[in-house]
Amino acid sequence: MKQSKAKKKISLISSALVMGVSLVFCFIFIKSENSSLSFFSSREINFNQFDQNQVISRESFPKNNQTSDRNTSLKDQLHSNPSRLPAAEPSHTESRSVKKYKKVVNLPPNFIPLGKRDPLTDKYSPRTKTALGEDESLSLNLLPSHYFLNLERNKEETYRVSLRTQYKDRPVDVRLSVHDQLGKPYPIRKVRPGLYKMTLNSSELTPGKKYFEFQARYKNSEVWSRLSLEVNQSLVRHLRPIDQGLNAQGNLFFNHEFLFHQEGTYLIEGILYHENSPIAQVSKVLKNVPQGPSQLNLQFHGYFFSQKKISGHFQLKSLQVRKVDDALKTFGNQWIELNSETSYLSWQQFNSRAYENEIIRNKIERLTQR
Amino acid sequence: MKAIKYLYLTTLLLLSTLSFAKDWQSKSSDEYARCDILIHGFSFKKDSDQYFGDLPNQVIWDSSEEIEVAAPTVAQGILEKMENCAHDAPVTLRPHSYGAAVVHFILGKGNLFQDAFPDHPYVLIYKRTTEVYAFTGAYHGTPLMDVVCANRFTRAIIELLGTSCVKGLSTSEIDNVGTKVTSAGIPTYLIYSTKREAYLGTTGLLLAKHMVSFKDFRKGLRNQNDDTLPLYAAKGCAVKQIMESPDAQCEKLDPYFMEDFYHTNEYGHLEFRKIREFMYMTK
Repeated sequence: MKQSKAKKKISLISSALVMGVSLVFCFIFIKSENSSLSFFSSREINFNQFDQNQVISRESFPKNNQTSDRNTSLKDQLHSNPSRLPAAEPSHTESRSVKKYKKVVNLPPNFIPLGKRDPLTDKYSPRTKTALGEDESLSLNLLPSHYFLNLERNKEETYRVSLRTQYKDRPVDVRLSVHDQLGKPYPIRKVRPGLYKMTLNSSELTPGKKYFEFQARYKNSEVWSRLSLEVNQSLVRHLRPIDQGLNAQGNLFFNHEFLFHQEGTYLIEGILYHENSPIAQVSKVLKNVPQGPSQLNLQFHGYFFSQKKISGHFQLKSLQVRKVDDALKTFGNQWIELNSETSYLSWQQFNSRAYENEIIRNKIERLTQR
Repeated sequence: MKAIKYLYLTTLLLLSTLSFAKDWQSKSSDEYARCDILIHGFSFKKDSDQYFGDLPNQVIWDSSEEIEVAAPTVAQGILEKMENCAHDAPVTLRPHSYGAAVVHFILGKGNLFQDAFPDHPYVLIYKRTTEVYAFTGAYHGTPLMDVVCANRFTRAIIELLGTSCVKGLSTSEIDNVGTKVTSAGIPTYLIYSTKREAYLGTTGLLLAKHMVSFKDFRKGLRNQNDDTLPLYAAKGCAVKQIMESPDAQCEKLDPYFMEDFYHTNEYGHLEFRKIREFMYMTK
């Protein structure tokens, strides 16, 4: 009798244990459906990407002006009460990205539509740099002639920096010093009170990157600033325009002759203007170019102009020429202003056949198949 | 009674098993639906395995290197992480700060050379990447790095303390990513911050003064930043400029593909890196 009672007890205890373990087991799994950081989800086959589909939407995060009106900040929500995290929503970004891709799916990969700015002008046209001292009284304005300078054999090049110094908005004479990153000092010439010039000619410029540090002192105030300059040997020289206009397919082309100073692979990027505004950029890789004169035919696919009904005169404003190695490192940074203009072209003359960009098409498919 | 107990237990076990199976099945299919790869920013340590906490798929690289030097390693890391993803999964790169500059460089080169060098790692990455979420991207660097790079004396002290001068992360006119490539050719969603509280806001104040004249600063004009980066850098502006408010507009380095996506005033430059929900933000 006692034995059977003991057996019953053992049976009950073991049943309770099994039930308890099962309940814990269930609880863990129920939790794992809600939390990506659950016990089991971290033991998935593909550990590196656990539950990435549970993404948070931008709309789930309130904007600042909205958060300021709330009693609890988003940060507080996330840290103090994880259960109040914004709910995950299905992703819709694809449609936004797909829309962007669809606008370029009919353009060749080397064709970039531009906004209001010309990226080459931004890169190569120097702007004034203003620096202020710690006590905010002394200011130093620097305007260099170049960021990138190309040295041509038998041609004198000059690098100039204009320095303006002001103390409480008045031009003042200051103690100035300039040196490069190696500590080499450079002379500065005073033009008038508050205006100085630094000039370097070809013999003082060697290929490489230079970082000039400028220091100005006046009374107890001090200010410093720096400018950078990249000096390169010239890669090419423009010889002559050959032809421009529309080819047989209705694509816009510009054919020019250049003298290449070295053999190698070159990356050429051209900026097209329409009615004094940048409109498109194209790139072209020229492999194994021999030293000497070579023709460059730069083409802008006509579909872009046909589709957007753009007529008028088109101008190949400038080129950027860089040398490329097998690791895709680029060298040289040479900017050539061409200003080569076509005659009047009507949008109906352009190629109206869309280009099939397979890479972009593939991206769209991957984004939409989900 | 015994039979009921066993039935109950069996049901529980069965339900648990079913729940596990369902969970496993749905997770495994979901996982293959997305591929998110995180790329860290500037770090005082050379290898930053804890940069994003325990978030998966992080590319570890030496962020004290210049963009061109670091890019091959970062590219290799991205390709390795892509191996973890399904072949046809859309790939989203999620770089932070300096990482955004390096990613823009890799994609930009991949975009430029896709026809000429179709098998190069940069081109392979460009082909597979579908979107970029750039968290406070250092597209123009930061004046704070200018201080680090300022002169030989400061540099020597700072290098002794373990922080190196990275010119690609300074405001140098010749070293920023925008001078190296123009368009990444990939939709890039910019996430930026204007919270200035770290170190009592000292560095934030310093950056607020960056490019602002003494007169205007006294009048209250501030260049917006997140204590580390000026807003124009994180917003991928084509040129350096004063941005008075987070809503200020600028033409982008990659105007066709870059767009302002999310602004926070609650998280500073480094604060959100380990918050999974923030780092996996999407629309």
